[in-house]
Amino acid sequence: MISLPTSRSDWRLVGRTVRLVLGRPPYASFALLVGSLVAIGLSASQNLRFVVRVLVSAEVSIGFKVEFLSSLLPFLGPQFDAFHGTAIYAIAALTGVNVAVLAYHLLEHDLSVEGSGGSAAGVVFGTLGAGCAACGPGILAGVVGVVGGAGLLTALPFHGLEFSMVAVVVLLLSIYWLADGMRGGEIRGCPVDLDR
Amino acid sequence: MGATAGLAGCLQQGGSSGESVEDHPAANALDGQPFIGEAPLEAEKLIVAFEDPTCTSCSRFHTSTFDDVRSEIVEPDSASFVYRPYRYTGRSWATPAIHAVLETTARDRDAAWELLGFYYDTVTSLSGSSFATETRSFLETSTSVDAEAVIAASEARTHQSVLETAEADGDEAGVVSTPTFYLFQNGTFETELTGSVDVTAFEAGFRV
Repeated sequence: MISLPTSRSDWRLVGRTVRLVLGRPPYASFALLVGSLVAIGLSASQNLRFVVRVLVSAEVSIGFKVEFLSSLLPFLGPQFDAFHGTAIYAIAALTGVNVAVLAYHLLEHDLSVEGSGGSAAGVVFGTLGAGCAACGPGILAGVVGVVGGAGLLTALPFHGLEFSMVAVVVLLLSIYWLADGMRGGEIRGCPVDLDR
Repeated sequence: MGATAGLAGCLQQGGSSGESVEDHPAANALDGQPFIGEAPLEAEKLIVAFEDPTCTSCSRFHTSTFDDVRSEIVEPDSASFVYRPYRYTGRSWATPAIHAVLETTARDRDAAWELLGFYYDTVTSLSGSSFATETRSFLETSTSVDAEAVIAASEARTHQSVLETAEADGDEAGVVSTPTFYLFQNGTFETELTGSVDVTAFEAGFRV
């Protein structure tokens, strides 16, 4: 039975679980790696084929490739405004945390993906939502274009930021469901849920 | 509206690299469009930009990257940057603004870029009701162009065929949002860039 986080103790559970998992350097590094890749991937989503072409090209130096990748990221380049940029980093950070907690859950608690709540849905929504966060709606324009409504996103009050907000909510829920599934267990020898 | 690029644009992905500039829809009918640098079809490097003057992402490109493109690519090289109109946002003043820009281009190309810059600077505050007053005021105070003639041309939709041709070409090229840039070098298509990208992306586009 999937429940929603309705009380402060639910969110305390989330905070404690995340803190305990990220307290282990391998999982913190994994979260950082995943978050960075997600931020780069989402920022590159509008020009994905071109970005790959630049990265594998022998015509440009490593330094230029780093500069090029950096220029795609929110606040380091002009591609996104502050709202969309913040949304991309929020989704990247939450996805990193989500995947790290999921990995801990699977590896340390010996569980299967089927029993891991909404994490997969969270990652899927994260990808879809942040792709939409790109003002020129790269991913969704392709999807929506198939049904002849590529301009649909421009009709939305926040031009697609709505999808990013959905992604953030779903990722938060996903992390909660993971933490909820870890109640009764231990992380680094500490009980996950102090209220039980 | 040009934004309904649909399936064709989705599948074509901006044409194939190596396609001749003469055959690429993005570079079709460039006469009468605002440009900086060399004459578009004579330049070694050509950037064709599909933009909507009411688009905030286009505004961000013009306030953050456009000057760098001008100083680092267009001015030092044999290059040209051409603006082609493409209505994307659906805002009510997009159509008259495009006509005003095209009419100003016909009278004074430099003034057209100033007018575009004005629209991008005021993209969040301009509206359909304030458009004519603000445009007239800007042209009278900042340029020597006949403001009344520009407003009249804007209201009469004098450049409708140019606008419709640009949007049809954009659709055929695969534009699904604005700004979208098509890069050509030595007469052949190199790549397509979407969004308010940094000048580094343009440099990369001409190098890989």
